[in-house]
Amino acid sequence: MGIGDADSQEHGSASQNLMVTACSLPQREPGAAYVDRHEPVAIKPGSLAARIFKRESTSEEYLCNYEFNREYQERVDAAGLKVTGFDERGVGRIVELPEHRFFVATLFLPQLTSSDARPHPYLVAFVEAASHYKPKSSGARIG
Amino acid sequence: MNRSVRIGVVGDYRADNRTHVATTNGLRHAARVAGVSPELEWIHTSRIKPDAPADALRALEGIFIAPGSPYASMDGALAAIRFAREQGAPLGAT
Repeated sequence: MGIGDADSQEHGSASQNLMVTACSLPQREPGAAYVDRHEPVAIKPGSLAARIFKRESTSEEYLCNYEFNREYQERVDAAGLKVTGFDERGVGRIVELPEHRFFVATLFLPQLTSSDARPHPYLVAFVEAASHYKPKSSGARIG
Repeated sequence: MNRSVRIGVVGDYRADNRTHVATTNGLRHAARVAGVSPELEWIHTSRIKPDAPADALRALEGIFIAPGSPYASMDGALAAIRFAREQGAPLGAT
């Protein structure tokens, strides 16, 4: 995107391009350390996320203090890191690189709702992608 | 015998962080469904050299960026993400 000083508010950056800023969702408990909520996520049809979740919306566990800055979300998408999951306010919750075999990040925590009986489909899709991938440089190093 | 899959979990593991424990457990559960045997290795962000991330990551078949920012080394975490993007290695991040 060519924004050399892109940064996050989380670590007190003085950057003028804060792409990650404080989460504006209400706390479940006043004064809690994190925004800890179960919230719906709408999934963009035709995306890899849609193939992973096999539905148009999902309910996911958020545990966060920071989130996408909406001022940059469309620019990130236009630059190629596609925003393919959205919370009810339209804030990005899933991003992916379409030309990559599996490059998918969530701004929620699938692992908190995954169980032995019902592993989360995102984690299953990641492990399946890993099981089909061979590193280019997996051979012995020389020197 | 299931095929083993080498997965590096990039993050600064703390046993008292429930998201970290859940990450390890969730990947193990997912591997069972996928029919593979997971070799999970937590990789502290300070172990990833920003100018030579391959030293810590080259043998991995999947790279998973764990929750828990701010990381001990933000540069290390970002280098792992860039490595996965450039090499084509599967990347998960939550």
